[in-house]
Amino acid sequence: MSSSPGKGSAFTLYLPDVLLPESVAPLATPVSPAVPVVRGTTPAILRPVSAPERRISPAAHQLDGATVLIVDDDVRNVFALTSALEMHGLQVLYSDNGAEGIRLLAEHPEVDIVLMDAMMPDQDGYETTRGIRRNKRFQDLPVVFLTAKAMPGDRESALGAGATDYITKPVDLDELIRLMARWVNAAETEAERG
Amino acid sequence: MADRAKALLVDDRRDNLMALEAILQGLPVQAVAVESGEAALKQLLVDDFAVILLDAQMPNMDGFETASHIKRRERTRHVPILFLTAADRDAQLALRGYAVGAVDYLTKPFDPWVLRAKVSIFVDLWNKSQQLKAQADAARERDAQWQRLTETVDEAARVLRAGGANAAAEALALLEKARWG
Repeated sequence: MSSSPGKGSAFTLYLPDVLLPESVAPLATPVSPAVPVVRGTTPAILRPVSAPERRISPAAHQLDGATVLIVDDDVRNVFALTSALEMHGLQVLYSDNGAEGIRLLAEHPEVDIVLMDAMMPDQDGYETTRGIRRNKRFQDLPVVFLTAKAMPGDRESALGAGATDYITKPVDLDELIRLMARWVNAAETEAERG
Repeated sequence: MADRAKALLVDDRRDNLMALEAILQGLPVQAVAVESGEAALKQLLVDDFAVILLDAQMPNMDGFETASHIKRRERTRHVPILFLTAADRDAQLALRGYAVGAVDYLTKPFDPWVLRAKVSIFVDLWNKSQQLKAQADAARERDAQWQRLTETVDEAARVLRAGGANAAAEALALLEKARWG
């Protein structure tokens, strides 16, 4: 990626362990050889998409101006996901841990939907979601889980913890946008009915 | 004027960060120091910066990878990046810095006054662009207000032209409402 200047696709994310050898090899710094072990572990949030243009789907239109809170400790993936969501007109709030995520939520009543990483150190996504649901104000807030693996039972544990929906990484951006639009609109309709 | 300009300082070594902070002392800029590329990206998710001073060689996410993430996000791609590196012998490094979109490059040890001068230019630029943004907002607001007033004048004229016992009072009410809310 770094060998293609000016490519700049907001929708493209390569696996970290693909990026590394390319970006470090010519440097030959003494620190780098130990690094790949640390980095190969996390799968990308987004599936690579080749089109760099901003694509406006009807679902994306419905999300224009909406606010999303992302709670995820993997900043590489969050940065790529944030770029993509911002291109669709969303406001993005971010926290790298569950406790701060809950604090941000309390400070920002404008949050329309939460994207929650299932696996985080300390307080994981399940525990964080249970914490969110304990607050009456957030009982109907859409909380969508992002999980690395599609293990049988994961969906059930996510829903059991209070998640609204569930999407597996690497995330297909169009699918995520459609899913988010569905839940944000459902919540708005609910609010209008009182 | 909105926020004070902020500079993001990224270096895996604490003593380097402290030196950078000392160099920027007295400039109209708030220094935010972080010790990794990951932490830099986290800062950029929650704040806007006038300039980024980025150490090229860091463990895990190095400066080049950090810069490539920054350049791929619309909201951060225009933030000027000054690369700092110790590898002064390797001209390739400078080229790689420019390739990922760095606006400038300093090799350590560098002259603190040169760094100060460069940073203050970017801070000036940032302040000017903030002023432009504020002026653009004000202009938009004035346009909207002008539009509202024009529409009300038209409406009041229609009411007056239609005549009737209460026409003058109605037109007056419309105009005063538009003027004073």
